[in-house]
Amino acid sequence: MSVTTLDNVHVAVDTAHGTVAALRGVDLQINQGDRLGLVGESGSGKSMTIRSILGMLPEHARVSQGRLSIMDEPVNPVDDRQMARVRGRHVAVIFQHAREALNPVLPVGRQIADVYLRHRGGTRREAREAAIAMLGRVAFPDPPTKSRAYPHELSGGLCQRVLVAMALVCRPKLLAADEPTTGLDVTIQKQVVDLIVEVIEDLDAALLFVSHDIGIVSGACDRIAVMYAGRIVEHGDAEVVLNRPTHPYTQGLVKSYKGTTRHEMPFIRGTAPDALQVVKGCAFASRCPLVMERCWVVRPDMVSTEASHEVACHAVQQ
Amino acid sequence: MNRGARTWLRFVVRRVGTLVVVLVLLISFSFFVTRRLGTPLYLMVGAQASQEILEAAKSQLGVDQPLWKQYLNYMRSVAHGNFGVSRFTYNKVTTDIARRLPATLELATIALVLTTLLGIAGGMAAAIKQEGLLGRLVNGLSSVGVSVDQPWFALMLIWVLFFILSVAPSPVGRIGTQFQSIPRPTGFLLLDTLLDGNVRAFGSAVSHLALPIIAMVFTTVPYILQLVRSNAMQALRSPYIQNARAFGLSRGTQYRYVLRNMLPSLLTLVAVNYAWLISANVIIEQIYSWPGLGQYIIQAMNNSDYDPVIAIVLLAATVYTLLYFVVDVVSAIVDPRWKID
Amino acid sequence: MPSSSRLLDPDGLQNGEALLQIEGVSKRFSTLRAVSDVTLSLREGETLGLVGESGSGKTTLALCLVNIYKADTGRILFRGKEVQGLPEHRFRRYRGAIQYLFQDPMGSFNPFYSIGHSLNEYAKLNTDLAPKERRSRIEAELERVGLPARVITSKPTSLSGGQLQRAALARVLLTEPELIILDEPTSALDMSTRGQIITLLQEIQAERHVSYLIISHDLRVVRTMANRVAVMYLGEIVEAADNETLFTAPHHPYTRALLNASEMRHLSSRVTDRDVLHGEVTEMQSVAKGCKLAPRCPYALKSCSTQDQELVSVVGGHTVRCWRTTDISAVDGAARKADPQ
Repeated sequence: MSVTTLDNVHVAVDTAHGTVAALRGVDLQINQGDRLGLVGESGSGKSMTIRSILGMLPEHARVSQGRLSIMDEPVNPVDDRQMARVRGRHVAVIFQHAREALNPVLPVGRQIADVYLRHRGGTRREAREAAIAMLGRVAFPDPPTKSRAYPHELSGGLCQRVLVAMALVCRPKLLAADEPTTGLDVTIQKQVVDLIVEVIEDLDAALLFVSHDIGIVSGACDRIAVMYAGRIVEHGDAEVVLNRPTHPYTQGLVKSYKGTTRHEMPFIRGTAPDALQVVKGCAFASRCPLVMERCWVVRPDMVSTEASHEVACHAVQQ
Repeated sequence: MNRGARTWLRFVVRRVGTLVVVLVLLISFSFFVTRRLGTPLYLMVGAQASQEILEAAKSQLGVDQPLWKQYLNYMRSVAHGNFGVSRFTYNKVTTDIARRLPATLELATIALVLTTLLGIAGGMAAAIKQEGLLGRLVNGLSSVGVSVDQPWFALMLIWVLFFILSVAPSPVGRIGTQFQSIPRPTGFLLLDTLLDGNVRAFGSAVSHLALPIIAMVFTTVPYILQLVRSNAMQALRSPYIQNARAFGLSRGTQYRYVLRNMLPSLLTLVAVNYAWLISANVIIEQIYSWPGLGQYIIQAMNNSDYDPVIAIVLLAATVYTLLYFVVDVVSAIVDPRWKID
Repeated sequence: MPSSSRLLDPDGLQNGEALLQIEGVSKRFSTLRAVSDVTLSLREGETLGLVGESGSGKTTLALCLVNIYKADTGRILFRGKEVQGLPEHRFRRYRGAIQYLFQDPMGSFNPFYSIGHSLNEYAKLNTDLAPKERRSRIEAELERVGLPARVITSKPTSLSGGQLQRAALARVLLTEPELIILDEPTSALDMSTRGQIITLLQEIQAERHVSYLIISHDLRVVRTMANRVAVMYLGEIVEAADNETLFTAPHHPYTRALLNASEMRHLSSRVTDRDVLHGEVTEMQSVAKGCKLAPRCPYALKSCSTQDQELVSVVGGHTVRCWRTTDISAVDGAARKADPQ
């Protein structure tokens, strides 16, 4: 069963400076048990993808094309009432900068309890006890005492665990993590990722792990989709995408990640296109080492290169 | 978590200490200021008084003593609750104040509750439905309320609702003349009329409260409303509210989260508002002939009657200080980020 | 100053040979020991990498170098001259030579001024150039960092993070600095474009013979840029070595855990699956007895938490603060000290 499907989704945002094409045709299907990593850099649209699934698009945003479905039911991301029934219940998101995502004037146990009450009902006491139990599940030190702590008294890593506990309480079918390790110490990052993977297995839920760090993503997911300028440009098994990338952008990305030497740090020259620009042809053309004339005019479609591997690139498809 | 019981105790004790020090300083300050102003000797004894009478008056007032002795005497009498005698009513000032306090308190408290409730409701509505009809209506009314001149508005209310439309009662006093003599055990007419079982009197008390309350509420709600609105607008966009939304928490819960976060600033404003309503609501009491403290202080000033003036000034200062103290403590309770050590 | 710090001077540079010499610097903030007895030096034209996570003290140390914090103990020598603890008017003259590039480019520009205005103000304060010369220097540096001339009139908000980063670099270069402290220069940038700024910094170093102190939690950046690396944990240096040694033969468990967590263990066979830290870093740990890492270290023994760890030299220039991983004689000596029997 499909937990969530995006079918050629285009999202446009009307701003004072013009219309921003945030998503320019995203195709994604996540089934039960899937662990998909969504890799992209600033402006790639990876956060917008999560927001679409949650129905929390920014003001003046609209789905200009395409369809979304959650649990095989079509949904309209702009319909707040409909989406409110989805949030938490079917899809739970763990955001970055966990401390800011928590209410500063309430103890963390209380906040988890509020989520519990919302999705599982029961009395305040039951919710409080469930919250403490959940904190124990996420390896919180001394849950009964610490559940009364306030967010500003906890480290970034601990705050992140509180969010994971909230997600656990919801028992969603899809757990999405939006850059959950940003800002955390490197030695803590692995702890958080391991925790998320553990939770997925516990809940038997699907995982959508969004990050700019292809290394972290490959550690938690079996498949990776790479986004650039509002579209997915490569989609395949994590091991293949990381070690034998096909799309020039993915290649550049992987090289930047793995190819650092004692004297050189590889990079992709140029910058991603301005969000306000209307892109003709392939959005990566201006930075691509394999660019051909066709690339400036015709937009490449996602085409299978081998079993369960797709790439959107003219050069590769020759 | 460094806010255990001992820390709290230390915090409260420190604040109470500050409170006491401030009050003592206030009282001392008012003493020295009034002594500078001089005593209305000639008003008391007449311009043609002889030297002996003058001397006698001086010693009676105690102004022939050295200053520090006067100060001690003054502090002693204050400590005993003796604030002098009104030269106009011939009562002890404390008696006058005690009699008039319920009138002001009744007006102030009802106005405060209504202002706060309407301010919160209006502010939240304006923040949530900014672009809708409701939001715009609320903002519009708020702008009018803050721009209108309170005395003018109060008078207009009388003119329109009493003179022209005859829906309001005559704006003199707290209750219709036919009910003046009902028993007043508490001094709060709404309670007293109910205790007496006199429904008609209750109705009269309510209708007499209506105009001054409307005048006060309409001109004060905008301040609370604007505070609530700007805090709410900011909070609604904050990451923690977005996160609450993302976890499916209901709108009601989200709004409660928002209100909880703005409590310290809101409480401060409400406290200031209340202190003002109790101690300085002079214009409304004058216009509506309301027998409260505001009317008392105007009367005293017009008659060069110093003792009541000083006493009310002190009362006002005390009320402000006390309310700030309460807000301080409550804010520290409500917002865990406030440092109390 | 503890005598052990003589041992720790990485290259045994004499005063005067090093551009920057930090000796035994410590800084406390009430109960937190932010920096403990740090000794480092930096040669002209070279890059020193300072690696650490939150609470390591690396930023505090760097801010001591530019007189934003005053160290509690120790000396900082720039070209042999004492610059630690100087009053601002005496430190002034070094400000052109020692520049600081802050972590958050958006935060280091006044949003009301255009980029050109900010750069001009900076040049006025830190150089003696005439207006025309200032203008041409600004244009030259902007070009050098790869920004088009039109940014001179742009406001910070219309530039991307990467562009602002470059503008901040241009500003720093205006003063013709000898030492630039780079505080997390790539954390705000995308992974695929980090290399752009790193390459730029390398080119500028080659052209102008400027020295860098690069602070980063990103080991890849340090790998590419630094000649020598010092790893800090809770205020102490736990390992210091030249680049090649640190990455191919890391000794300290913390260094190895960092390499493991950063997916860089392929550089050294010494890093294994065992090199994972559990738990979290806490303020309390900074004042605890014994090895600061002990609560989280996969190799910790009981004696690790009771005996303070000394920084010991492994091979000339390579120092490590861990009795379990340094050579036998040091292990013996420390073991004898650790177990008082």
